[in-house]
Amino acid sequence: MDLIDLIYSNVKPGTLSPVVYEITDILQTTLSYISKALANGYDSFLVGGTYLSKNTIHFLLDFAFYYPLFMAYLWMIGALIYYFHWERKSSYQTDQVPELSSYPPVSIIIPCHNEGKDITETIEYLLHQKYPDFEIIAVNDGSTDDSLEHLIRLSHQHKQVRVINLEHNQGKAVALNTGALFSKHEFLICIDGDALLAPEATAWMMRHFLNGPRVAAVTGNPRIRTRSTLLGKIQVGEFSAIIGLIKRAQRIYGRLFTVSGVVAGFRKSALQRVGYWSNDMLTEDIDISWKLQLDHWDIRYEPNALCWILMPETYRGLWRQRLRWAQGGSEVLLRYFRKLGLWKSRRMWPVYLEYFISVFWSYTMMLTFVLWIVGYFFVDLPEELFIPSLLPSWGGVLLGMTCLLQFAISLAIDSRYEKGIARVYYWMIWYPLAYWIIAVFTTFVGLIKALLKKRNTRAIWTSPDRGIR
Amino acid sequence: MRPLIIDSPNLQSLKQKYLSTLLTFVFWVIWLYLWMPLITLIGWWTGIDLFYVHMIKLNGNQLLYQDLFFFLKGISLLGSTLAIWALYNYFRFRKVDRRTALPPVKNEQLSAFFGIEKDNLHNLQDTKYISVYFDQDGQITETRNNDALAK
Repeated sequence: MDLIDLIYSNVKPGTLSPVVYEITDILQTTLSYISKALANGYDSFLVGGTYLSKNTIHFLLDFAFYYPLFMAYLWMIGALIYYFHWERKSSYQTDQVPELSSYPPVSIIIPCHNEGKDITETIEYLLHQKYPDFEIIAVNDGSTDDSLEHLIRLSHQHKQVRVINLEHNQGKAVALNTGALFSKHEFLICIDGDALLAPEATAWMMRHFLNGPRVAAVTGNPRIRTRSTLLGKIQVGEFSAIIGLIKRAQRIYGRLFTVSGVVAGFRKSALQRVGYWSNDMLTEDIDISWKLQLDHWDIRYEPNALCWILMPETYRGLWRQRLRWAQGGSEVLLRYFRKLGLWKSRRMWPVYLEYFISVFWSYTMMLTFVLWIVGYFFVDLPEELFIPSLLPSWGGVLLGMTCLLQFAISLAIDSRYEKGIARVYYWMIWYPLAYWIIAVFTTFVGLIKALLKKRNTRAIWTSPDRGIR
Repeated sequence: MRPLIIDSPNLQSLKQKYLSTLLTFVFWVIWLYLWMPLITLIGWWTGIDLFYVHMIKLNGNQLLYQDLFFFLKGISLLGSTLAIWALYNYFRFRKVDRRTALPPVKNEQLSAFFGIEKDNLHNLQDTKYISVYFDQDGQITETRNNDALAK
């Protein structure tokens, strides 16, 4: 029976082919056809071409189906290893302050662009940090609202608060660089202007800097505040069941794809070595993570360093945000492509490969989808290009089960950080499906935008949607 | 201050409410549809003779086992690779930290990198309210100590 019929037939229990054999088969056949074609001329090359295109399409379909499934398991396994190694035995609860060997002073930097509505809350919350010595530097990046007035008032009220005013909007990277330049201390914690940093978070992050001289950055655990809508609830689950699992699994690979721009701590001497944040990248957080790790620094994830954040609750807001992430990822993929060829960059290969394959996967999905629509609704495609159905058979059951398992594991790990999180799962047991669908479209568009972007274009920010309040 | 968790569905517009309900419904249906083969199997099971014909006589069960075996092989391969990698790193780096701590950044380094005079930098690091001006490329052109203004 034909492979495609087996995988995508909808009634009989189908078989799922061993992809590895298929790849070898395709390679072997390709070679033999090329040699035959060279020997016999054009006719046999045509026959070979047909065989090859048919098998390539089959292989791509298999890949499209298996890739997200296997990635889900890789993340789950990675997260479980992380959990058993670091989290389970931790003697502290999240809301306890860990004891440190010393307490070097810290500068907390907050870049703000039109944060008038939220900045007072952010700074007043920050003042409750359970850490002996810290300054707060608010960098007003050319806001057109009343952010600066709020900041000046706060700096009068609180001796820790300082204000840097950038007279014109320069973008988040320049705001962070300027904050780092005028900060007094070696350790920086950078949070967004609308984020609330849990009082224990500074101590949790500093623990890593003190334990490891190789540690250049520590990323915290963002928790969603805006939960009124379906989108809000979904993102709560997404951050714990997908993003949290990915971060843990990547710590097991040894390298992180990115710190969370909304909450991350940095060692200034490491930043100095890599030239601080780049002002021409759309996502400065992904870029700085790559620069630091390519310079052989470590980046750690600290799930106890909670930071409460506002997220988009409109479909347009979510699309824009995800597109920005995807474009930023692709920009990094393109910029550091050459450096990755070096043997000394080998520790970055797993993360690079994961992202590269996911971009390739998005394009494969798009191709499959387009072929299916064309073949089903418009024209009779040749047999080798015809996609019988997008719906898998037994594979579907496995997909459904994978969703359940992924949530069960993330729930077991994540309930340590937030009680009652199980409630949101009712809303989103199907979400991993939607997550992959969103990834297909944003990655597809994001790569094109990254390729078409003019070099050295300054990234100036615009305020995102912050949910309904 | 607002509560830490903002959960006020009543703030949603009517359009948002309907759209959310519709999306939840559609995705639940898709998700349940994924389980069709299992539901079909239960259907067969209840008609035992049919189940026997398809699963035993026509070797349908063999195909199912093949699928599951392939998945288990894939997942085990991926999982054990990751676990072995984690163990290797753990044992290799457990007691080794080849990088000694760098000294904290000095103002000389900062002023050279950002092109700002050292004394001025030192002074501004103790200033409560600073204004900064930039050129087209994001380089600092001018800084102002506004502490006197702010008082």
